[in-house]
Amino acid sequence: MRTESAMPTNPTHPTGSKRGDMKPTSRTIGRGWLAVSADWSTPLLLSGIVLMAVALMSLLGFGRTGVEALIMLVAVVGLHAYSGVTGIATFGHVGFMAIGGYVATLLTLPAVVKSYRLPGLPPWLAGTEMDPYLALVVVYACGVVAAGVFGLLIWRLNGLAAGISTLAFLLVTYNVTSGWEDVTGGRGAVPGVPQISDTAPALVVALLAIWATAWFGRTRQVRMARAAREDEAAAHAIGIRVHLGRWVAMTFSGGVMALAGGLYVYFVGSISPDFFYVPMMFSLLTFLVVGGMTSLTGAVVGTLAVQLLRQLLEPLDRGWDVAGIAFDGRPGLRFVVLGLLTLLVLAKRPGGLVNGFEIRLPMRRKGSHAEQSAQAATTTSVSLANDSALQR
Amino acid sequence: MNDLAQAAADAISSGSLYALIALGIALVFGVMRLVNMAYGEIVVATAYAAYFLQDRPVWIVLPGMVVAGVVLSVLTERLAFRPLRNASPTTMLIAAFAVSFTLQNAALATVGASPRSITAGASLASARTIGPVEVPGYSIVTVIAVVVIVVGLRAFLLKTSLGIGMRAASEDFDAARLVGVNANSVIRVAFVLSGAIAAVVGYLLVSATGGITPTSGLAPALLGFIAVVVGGMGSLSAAALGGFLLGAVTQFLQYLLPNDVLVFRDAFLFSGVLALLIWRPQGLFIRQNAQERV
Repeated sequence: MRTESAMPTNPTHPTGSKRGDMKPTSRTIGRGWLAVSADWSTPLLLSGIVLMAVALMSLLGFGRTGVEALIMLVAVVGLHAYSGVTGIATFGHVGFMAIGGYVATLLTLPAVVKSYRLPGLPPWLAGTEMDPYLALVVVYACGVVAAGVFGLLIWRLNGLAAGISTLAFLLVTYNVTSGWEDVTGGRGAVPGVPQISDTAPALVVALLAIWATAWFGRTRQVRMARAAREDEAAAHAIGIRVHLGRWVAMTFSGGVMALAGGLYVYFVGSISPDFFYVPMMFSLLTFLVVGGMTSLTGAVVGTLAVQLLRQLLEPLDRGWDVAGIAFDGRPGLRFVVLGLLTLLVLAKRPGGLVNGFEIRLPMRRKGSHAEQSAQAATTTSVSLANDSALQR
Repeated sequence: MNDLAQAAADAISSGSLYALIALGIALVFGVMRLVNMAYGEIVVATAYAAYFLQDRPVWIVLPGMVVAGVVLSVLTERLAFRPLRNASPTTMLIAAFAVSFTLQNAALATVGASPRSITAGASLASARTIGPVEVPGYSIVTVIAVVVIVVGLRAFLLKTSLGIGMRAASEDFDAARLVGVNANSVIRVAFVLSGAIAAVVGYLLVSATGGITPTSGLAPALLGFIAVVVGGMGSLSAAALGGFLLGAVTQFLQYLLPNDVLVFRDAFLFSGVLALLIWRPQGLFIRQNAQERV
């Protein structure tokens, strides 16, 4: 499936046929550590943006919103690692967040709370009181395993069918978490999860997620998955193992999503199946699509921008009375505005705000040009081939 | 035996309702490859129309609901989906999510989050006895409605020039335009029909549940969406059959599952959907290969 985004195109080398362009770019852009840093400049700059956004939010007095934005950022980066790379829209990745959230809860919930809220737990789990940070390691592992197994199941699915299959997965997760009283406490919220609502842990995980995804984006399998995103048939034809690349992306993103789920549970201090359902999925998709699905920069910018806007629009819900101009406020009104803005972005910039652009330092021009024009060449030929098919 | 007959009656009624929802989604998907997740909100809007027309006779309430559904459906097409007509199916699907989110919150901001009880169709809730089974009145109406709508749609699609244009457009949109099918009018008709079906679905839903909240649209939209995918995208009859199957299987699971696992009914159902997708990604009732042709 082809996404709307155009790669950053370079008008001076539209065909990308210059000598040297065919070199694999990950290792051969120049020599020495500077060349490597050109590659790593994306996560470096994004870290800077995140830090600035967090500082801005705390200056504006958005304390908790800042932390929530960071946790959402982890989830959206995880979503990007699958959807952005493969071009497959997924509607159920929140299911992996649910798995992460419940694993975190079961590992860290005080035994006292377990004894009255979850009396049906097996003895080995009923007494467990793990350190919340240590538990995150298990949470991550569970997310990776769950996504890995699920990825094996849907190995051969393409496009929309793959997206729907994750939705089915989310619906199963939601039903199991709300029905399995003994282990999850059923539909009601389970309180008492150790609360961590400081900025630092969320910030560290968010930056880790950004750096890991940037590294992940440069691996061979992911490059191949990207090629398949642009033109699946062509990717098959040149011998790319399309499904393997997608499976790797699914596994990686599942782990990141689970981490986000764990963090979210710590942030709220309680858990309920309704945290991780379609509304959460829709929020994450909005963040990702508004920013631009295909680049890490898009994921980061979209999350921070929408989360900031959401907070700035809050008076619409709450009402105001400034300088004699009073407004009662209507709960839900800010989301109407947000939804309309999302639609506007989709109509005017279908590729999202950054439209596939990946922020990087302007050093080692030659190398980055070679890479960009190679991408431009792929995109151009692909869009020529696909234009007739997609004009609907 | 009686239990089985009862389960079969429930399966037919619930399957018919899902088939209607699936038809509303498949009509639009056929002509513009848009999975209209906002469909549930249109159903909810028609229910709110019934709420505002409370206590009026049915020949005012029902047309009022149809008008609300059609107007809103056409408005969403004009304002939200038309600018995206050349976008990829994924982008359009996300736009539909955004429309759904916007409408849901608009309902929240205007009518409020508390459930509204609706008397329209309340007379249909009382049970009637047919042979060995006892069914609520709305079940009978649902089955009649789905038969009437399917027959009517079939006549429309086969006999009228607009209907033939629609069928041509869902086969190959560009080719249809080349031979003179008006793209805008075909798409508008799809949205009009889908909005009218939403009103019927809304009427049946409120007569079964007696009330509505801004978030009531989520479940029907999700089920309709899954029904369309299970049956097969791009064919109306496949979608309707998919919807029927989904509804019927839900009722039979309800009947067959032992009590202690009954809470996991949906998990069984959607695991089945997942297995079906893996086995036949193109849908149950579609012949063609799922692999995209180049």
